Amino acid sequence: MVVRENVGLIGDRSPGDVTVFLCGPEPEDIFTAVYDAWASRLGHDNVRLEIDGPQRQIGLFCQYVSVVRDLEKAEKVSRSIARKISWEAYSGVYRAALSFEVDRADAIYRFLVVGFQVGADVIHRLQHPAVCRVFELSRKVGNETHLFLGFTRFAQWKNGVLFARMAPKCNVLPLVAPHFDDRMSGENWMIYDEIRHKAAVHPAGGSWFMVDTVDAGWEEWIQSMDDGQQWEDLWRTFVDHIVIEPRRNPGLQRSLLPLWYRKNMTEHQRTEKV
Amino acid sequence: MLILEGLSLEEKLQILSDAAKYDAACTSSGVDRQGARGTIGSASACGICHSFAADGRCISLLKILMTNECVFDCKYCINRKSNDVVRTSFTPEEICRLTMEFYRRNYIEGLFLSSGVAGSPNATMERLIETLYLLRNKYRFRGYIHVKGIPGASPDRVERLGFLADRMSVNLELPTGDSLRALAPHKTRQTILRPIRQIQQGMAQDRLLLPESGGWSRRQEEAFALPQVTSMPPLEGGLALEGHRDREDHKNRRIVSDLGSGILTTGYQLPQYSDLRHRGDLLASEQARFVPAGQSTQIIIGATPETDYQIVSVAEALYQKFDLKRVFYSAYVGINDDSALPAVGEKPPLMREHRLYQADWLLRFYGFRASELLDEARPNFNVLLDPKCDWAVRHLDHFPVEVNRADYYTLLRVPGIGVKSARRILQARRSSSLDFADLKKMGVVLKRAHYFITCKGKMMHRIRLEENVVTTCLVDQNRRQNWQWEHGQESYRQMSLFDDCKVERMPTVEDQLASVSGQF
Repeated sequence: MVVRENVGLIGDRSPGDVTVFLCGPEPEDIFTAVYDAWASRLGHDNVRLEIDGPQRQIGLFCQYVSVVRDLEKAEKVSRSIARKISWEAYSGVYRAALSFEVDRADAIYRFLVVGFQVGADVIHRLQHPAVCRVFELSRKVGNETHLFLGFTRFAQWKNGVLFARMAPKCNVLPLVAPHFDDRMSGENWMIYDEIRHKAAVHPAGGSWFMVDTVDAGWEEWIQSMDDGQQWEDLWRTFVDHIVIEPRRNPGLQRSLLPLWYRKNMTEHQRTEKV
Repeated sequence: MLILEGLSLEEKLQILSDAAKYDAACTSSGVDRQGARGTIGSASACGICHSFAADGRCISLLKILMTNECVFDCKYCINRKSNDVVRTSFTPEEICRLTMEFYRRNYIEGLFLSSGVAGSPNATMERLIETLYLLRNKYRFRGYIHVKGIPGASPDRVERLGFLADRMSVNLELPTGDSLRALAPHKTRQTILRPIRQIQQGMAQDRLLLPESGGWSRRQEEAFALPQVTSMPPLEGGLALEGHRDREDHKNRRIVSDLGSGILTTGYQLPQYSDLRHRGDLLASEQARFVPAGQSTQIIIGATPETDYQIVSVAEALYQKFDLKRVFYSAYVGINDDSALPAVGEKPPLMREHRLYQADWLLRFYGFRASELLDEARPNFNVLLDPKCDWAVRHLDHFPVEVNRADYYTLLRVPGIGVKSARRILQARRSSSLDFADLKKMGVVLKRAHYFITCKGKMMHRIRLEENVVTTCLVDQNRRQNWQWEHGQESYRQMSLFDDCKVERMPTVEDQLASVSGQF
């Protein structure tokens, strides 16, 4: 199960080898890696966690271990964080795990090392670099989640299903979906993350679930379902007419609503459709 | 008055959103309400912005007028009776459909419904009530609704509307009664303040009847959570200032009592309260709340000659005496040609508006009083420095403060430290002492704060703590930001040696010959 490949060069330096645990991008993968790294008993200073992917750089003097996702281990980790540290710490760690930053796995590991020592007080110790990093990551994810609660746009399909498309930097879909589950419990809706190729699906009156949408027919299927634009046009009319001309300030608009958020927003999609 | 019949929904939306846009408030905050089966919608206490318009203002609510017909003739308003504009109105059904379809697509967080006064204030209120009743009960809408109270409407209508809405607002429009008389002949202080007082009392009763809260007013709750006492020494010391201070207080009292004239007598009690609690109800099992997100108001800035000090004092009185959630300041935009108003096309005083909002935050969250920020002698805000920096450089005797020891309110008075950073500092310093690098990571704006704090007894740089030195440094930093507030809406381009020399006619053959042969 565990693949070890030694890419370290043994030179005149003593082999103070670091063992790198490579894991997938999802929170479950990261928690499994935390479990494996902790259980390896190599010592906290001798292990490092990395997210496997094209942007990864291979380091010298390292041993690499690939981690295979194991939901049981991941659950054990999350349960002990919530029980032995605190629920707030767990929600911070979970959100940090949804970040796009490549160092998130290792940051979480370092945070937990401190966390299991000092307990619930860990989240207040912002002067500790590991705590501060997890705090930064989770704040970024939290802020982006909040923005997507407002910036997500649904379009109605012919069959009445509401469909939204998003391309967030952080993996915010698991945090955004519960909001719409609460708000629109009586609607059939779907939110599609076009970067991570997964969708949150909510049947009317039921509870929402995640779907993997890697297969090829998905995009064409979405295109075929698109419907008329009466309400879209009304909305664009409203957005245009609410502007007070003497106060026009596109710079302020850009800083509050950066361009990259706009790609899936109805009111900024007019050029393609007209 | 030209009333057009048979307009399409889109044309109506154009006219009635154009007519509503001069209202500043677009917040969807103040109430947390979870969704429920069989209904659509929820509300989040922090508010959610759904878009930003090209003027940089947030779009959170569908901000429309029910009608722009109006019998009032307020000089500053685009919908005044004497203006020749196309008039139209939405039917309640149309408003409901717009709201629901926009809401389902997550365009908006709710509805902001205002209206011109069509016929009489009471008739207008009836139509507002009808619309909201339909939206809440037929369409089962559970999202956020902000509705305008019409000045001069009867108390029972204000009350019925209050049970259907989350937030109500009645615009104060102008800071003093004199200005109101001059610019809004159909409105008086009394017709505006009576509903504000009534809503305040209704909210207080509502809280009293709620089992979970012990009947505290919002002010009292906050006073308990964050005591108003600061550890600061008295701000103006010395007997020499005493007389001056008295005069100030007197002036302040005059402005504030002007605000209070005739309202103490309008102590209005909600009749048959227990019956009414179910009137605007959404679900039988749940009790309707009266204006749960509180009330707000709006003051127009720059149309009349009031000073910043007067405006801030009025705002302070509104927060303290009327328990308002927000006071909005709206830079006057010249739309009507009128001798009593600034000329059309004059730039709206955006910088002034910005400074007033900064001061407003200081009043609400930082424990400042209006009289600390400004006084008779200096009635307007400094254009170059924000109000908190301005206060700090005038009170350098309180600084520097030691971050590792100072209490919450002392920290809050440091420019660059806000509510969040102050709380984080309090939490973090319990485990170990803090340094400048730690503060930076926590979100303290050291650019401004480092003049006023020490960490472990040391300042970040060696700086002479003198008013001139600190002011010069701060002003220099803020220059770019200030420029952007004043000029952000102008378009500009890169300067170039060759495009900008204003060559209006092409050089002639003689010119070219002259330049070649060296004659000028």
